[in-house]
Amino acid sequence: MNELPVLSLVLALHLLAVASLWGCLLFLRLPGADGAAELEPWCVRICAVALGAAAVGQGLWLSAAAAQIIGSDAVFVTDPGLLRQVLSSTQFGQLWLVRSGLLVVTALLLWQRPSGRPLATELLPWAGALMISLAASGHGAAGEGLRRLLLPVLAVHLAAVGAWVGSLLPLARLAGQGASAALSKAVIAYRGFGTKAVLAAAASGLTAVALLSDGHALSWQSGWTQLLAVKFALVLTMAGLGGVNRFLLADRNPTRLRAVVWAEYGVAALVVTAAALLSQTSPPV
Amino acid sequence: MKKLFWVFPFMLLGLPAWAHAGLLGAEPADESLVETSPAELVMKFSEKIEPQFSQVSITDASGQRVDAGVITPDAEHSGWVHVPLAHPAHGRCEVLWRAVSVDTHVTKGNMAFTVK
Repeated sequence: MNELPVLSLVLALHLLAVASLWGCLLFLRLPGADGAAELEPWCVRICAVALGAAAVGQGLWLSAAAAQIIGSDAVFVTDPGLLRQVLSSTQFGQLWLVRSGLLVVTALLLWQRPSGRPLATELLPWAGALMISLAASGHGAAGEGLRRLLLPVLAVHLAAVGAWVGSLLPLARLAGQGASAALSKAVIAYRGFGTKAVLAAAASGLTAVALLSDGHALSWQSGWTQLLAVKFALVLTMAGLGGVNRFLLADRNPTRLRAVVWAEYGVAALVVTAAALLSQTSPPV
Repeated sequence: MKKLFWVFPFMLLGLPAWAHAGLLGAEPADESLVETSPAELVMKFSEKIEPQFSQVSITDASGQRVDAGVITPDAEHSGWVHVPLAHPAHGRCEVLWRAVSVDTHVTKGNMAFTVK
């Protein structure tokens, strides 16, 4: 169990980085958010940082997963022979190689992008592939029977969650530039975008929970359920921050909006961490 | 729109809650009594496992390890694996297993069967 928190932190780093990349690019494509395009140079830097963090997370993930697979006392293993064996003979290894390829292609496109080509046009499909392919790294890949549906369900879910978490970054940046017509348009455009993401995420999330629980009641004695309760409390915190944004701030007070959106992103990072911990813990079913 | 900011966070509740590979059954079954030494032990896990990194050891009443040290996935049933015996087993056979599922989660357990 000792390695689980470290592995979960690594997973959380990778997930948050990929979500930031994906959501940031989606924000640039928001219909009606005219001012969003002006954020492109800033988004290039965010994408570079996100790709770097995703790559670090990806590398550590392999090392930590290999340690878990062989039952090593060490949190990470670096033996090249062992890592090669994990890559070549496990389903996780195959997926890791594919996703590493996606990371490299996305990075190359970011750095070699012809001037004048919109950032989102070039990178969005690759960032989307990075996001949804995470669904195949967990139980979505191992499911049998009805649980086979987990793979597409989790893919939709991850895409929607990533859209939300990542799009908070450019929204905070825009708010940081003060009151403007661009901010007002972006806030309005964000509503429609968010509604679609919420519907997709809520439906897919509920479906995933139903598929995973098989209709069993959850025991409060289990660590998994307690973790879920912690996560629920964090989500309620986010709900509170979202409510402040929606009902008190919107585009009327950009300075506070920026602060609260950043706080929301911070709590989202904790929620993602809790989700990563849950992903490494067996539910009591 | 009012629902948006409230519903948004709740979608995260549905983030993956992956389970682990559990042993659903075996042939010979746990605590069963068989007439003759089986040629193999068939273990039925709840999800696919990585045979190269999973381990099963079968030790009979004399303390001799009788499995061949090999785990072979079943061609038809996902999650089932075959553990051939290298030697005939006698008496109570203790089975220790460590399964690595395809999502890299590790589970451990033990079972036993008895050869008359």
